[in-house]
Amino acid sequence: MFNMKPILLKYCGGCNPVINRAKVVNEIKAGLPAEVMLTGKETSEKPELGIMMCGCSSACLDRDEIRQLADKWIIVSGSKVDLFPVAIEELPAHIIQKIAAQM
Amino acid sequence: MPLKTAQGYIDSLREKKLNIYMFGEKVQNFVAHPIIRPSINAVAMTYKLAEEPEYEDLMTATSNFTGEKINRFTHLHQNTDDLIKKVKMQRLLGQKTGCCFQRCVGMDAFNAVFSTTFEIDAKYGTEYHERFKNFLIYVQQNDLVVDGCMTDARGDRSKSPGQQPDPDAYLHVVEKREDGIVIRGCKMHQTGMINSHEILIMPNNSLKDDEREWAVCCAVPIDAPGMIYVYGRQSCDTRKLDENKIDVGNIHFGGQEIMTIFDNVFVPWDRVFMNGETDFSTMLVERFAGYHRQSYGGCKVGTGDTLIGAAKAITDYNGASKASHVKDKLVEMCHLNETLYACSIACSAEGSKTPSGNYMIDLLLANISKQNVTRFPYEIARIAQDLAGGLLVTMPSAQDFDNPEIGPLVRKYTQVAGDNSSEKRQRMLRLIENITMGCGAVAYLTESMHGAGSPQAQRIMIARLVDLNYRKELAERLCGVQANTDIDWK
Ligand SMILES: Cc1cc2nc3c(=O)[nH]c(=O)nc-3n(C[C@H](O)[C@H](O)[C@H](O)COP(=O)(O)OP(=O)(O)OC[C@H]3O[C@@H](n4cnc5c(N)ncnc54)[C@H](O)[C@@H]3O)c2cc1C
Ligand code: SF4
Repeated sequence: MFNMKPILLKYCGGCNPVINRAKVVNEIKAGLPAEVMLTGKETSEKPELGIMMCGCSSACLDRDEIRQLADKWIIVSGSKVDLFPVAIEELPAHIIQKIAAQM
Repeated sequence: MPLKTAQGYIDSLREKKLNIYMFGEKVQNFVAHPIIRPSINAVAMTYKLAEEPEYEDLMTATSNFTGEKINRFTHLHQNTDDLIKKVKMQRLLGQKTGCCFQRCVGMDAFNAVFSTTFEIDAKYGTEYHERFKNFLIYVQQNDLVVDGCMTDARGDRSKSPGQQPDPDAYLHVVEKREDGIVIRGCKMHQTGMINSHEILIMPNNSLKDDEREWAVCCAVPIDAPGMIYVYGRQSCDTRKLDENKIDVGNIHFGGQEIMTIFDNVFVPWDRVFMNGETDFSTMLVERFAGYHRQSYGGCKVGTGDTLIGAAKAITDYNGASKASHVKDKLVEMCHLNETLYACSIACSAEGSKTPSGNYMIDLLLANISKQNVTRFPYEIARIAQDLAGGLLVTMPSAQDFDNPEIGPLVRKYTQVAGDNSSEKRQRMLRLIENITMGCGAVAYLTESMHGAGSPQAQRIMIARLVDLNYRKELAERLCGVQANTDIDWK
């Protein structure tokens, strides 16, 4: 189940995305309990979980300095989550499931 | 150390007893056969360059299994830098051989099989990935050449494997035994097949649920019982039998394609990497084709470099090289050639990690790369033929140049500007002929068209991978059909 710690949300630069990153994030937010917060702000306390929201499979955001910002990550890279292919329309539900499993 | 020498590689072929046919007859000593030997020389270059300090950075890599130095042709790409180096290595070898050096299909196949078996196991709890890893370590440790074996005979193109009147039109499993499987069928156009040590067999296309017997991926040694090889003819191939080699054009190197018949070949379980998982055949085919489409932006570019060089040389010999249109045509050849390279470098730089840990190219850019390859080499070849002049196709044979009576006259009337001998011109024209319409055109032109999939195969992928609605929305925001929410300033 969910705990209420904020989840760090980081976007790639968005040069040529194959998914609508903002739309996916909005649908994730809508599917999570209201108390679970997705935040782009880094705080002094390192969050347990972060989501990298990359628009395409190259996942150019996945770099050491970003990885250091949270303990664990869910990496979305176009129509893949943690490297495995997921249909675009199933991305939000799939990511919510992953969040539930990790928190 | 698991690196063979070029000589060691050639000697390893001598040990093989293969069932090879050419011109309706059985070939006895294939390594010494003058039509086959240039293709062996081309593969040998992949070993030779790996031995040389000035090329080892491209030609070798570190095995992710053993930490040992291995030939890059046996490597699993560990990052985007490896993908880029692969393309650079292929360009280098294209430059050194001016032809197909045959070792890429296997490398592309095992990078695709490695990641696909991982995902099959994740879904079905099978043990294909571990088996494949063991096979690959064996390949790396012994620095082997592996044939990437996908294209079936395919019969009626409008029918899927299960609908074909002859089920053997696509290679399939005909018997399951306690100790393994038996396969039957025919794989066409196999590049470098008899110059290989192992064959890595893959299904040819997407399969329906009830087409399980065709969903087979496995490896067999080249000399497995039941293997029959029929050597593919190339345009002008018998020139290789001539005493004087000038008319061959590319005198040391050449490609090879083999019609490969699997006549009830047994495969033990430890070499079976897919057996009935029809839902993974598309993944395997797309990944293999993706890697191989990337490959062509390396090898064809290297051969293109040699053709551009030949065009430059022939205009120098002819005394035409100062004309502005000649210079411009050479620039156009370079532009086309470097565009091919740019696409393959791009699809490598944009590559990504697979769940199994090795790296995949960007599929869209790889398909764009190959789509360009189906066209640009033809245009480069057209310009080369333009600059070469008509003697390219009307020149007397090398024997006439050597004839004591007419030889001096033939040389006198083929003499060109300055002190360039007519022999230089003769050799260079034969090289251009080789690449644009002789043996070399098999790889430089027709393989550019059909190899790794005919042009339409890339267009289907491009249509699938490009989000046209996203682009429509961009346009609609610019012209006001949709509100532009980015503008939040006054
Ligand atoms: C020099 C060379 C080397 C090769 N090396 C290898 C190798 O090492 N390993 C390997 O596995 N393969 C190899 N190939 C095979 C290559 O991948 C195939 O040639 C390619 O996939 C095209 O298949 P095909 O030759 O059977 O042509 P076809 O499939 O017969 O295509 C001919 C034309 O028909 C069209 N067509 C085909 N099917 C249909 C359909 N159902 N409906 C409508 N149109 C259709 C195509 O778009 C194309 O325009 C090689 C090919 C060449 C030429
Ligand atoms: S055609 Fe090119 S990519 Fe294919 S095996 Fe030959 S050299 Fe390698």
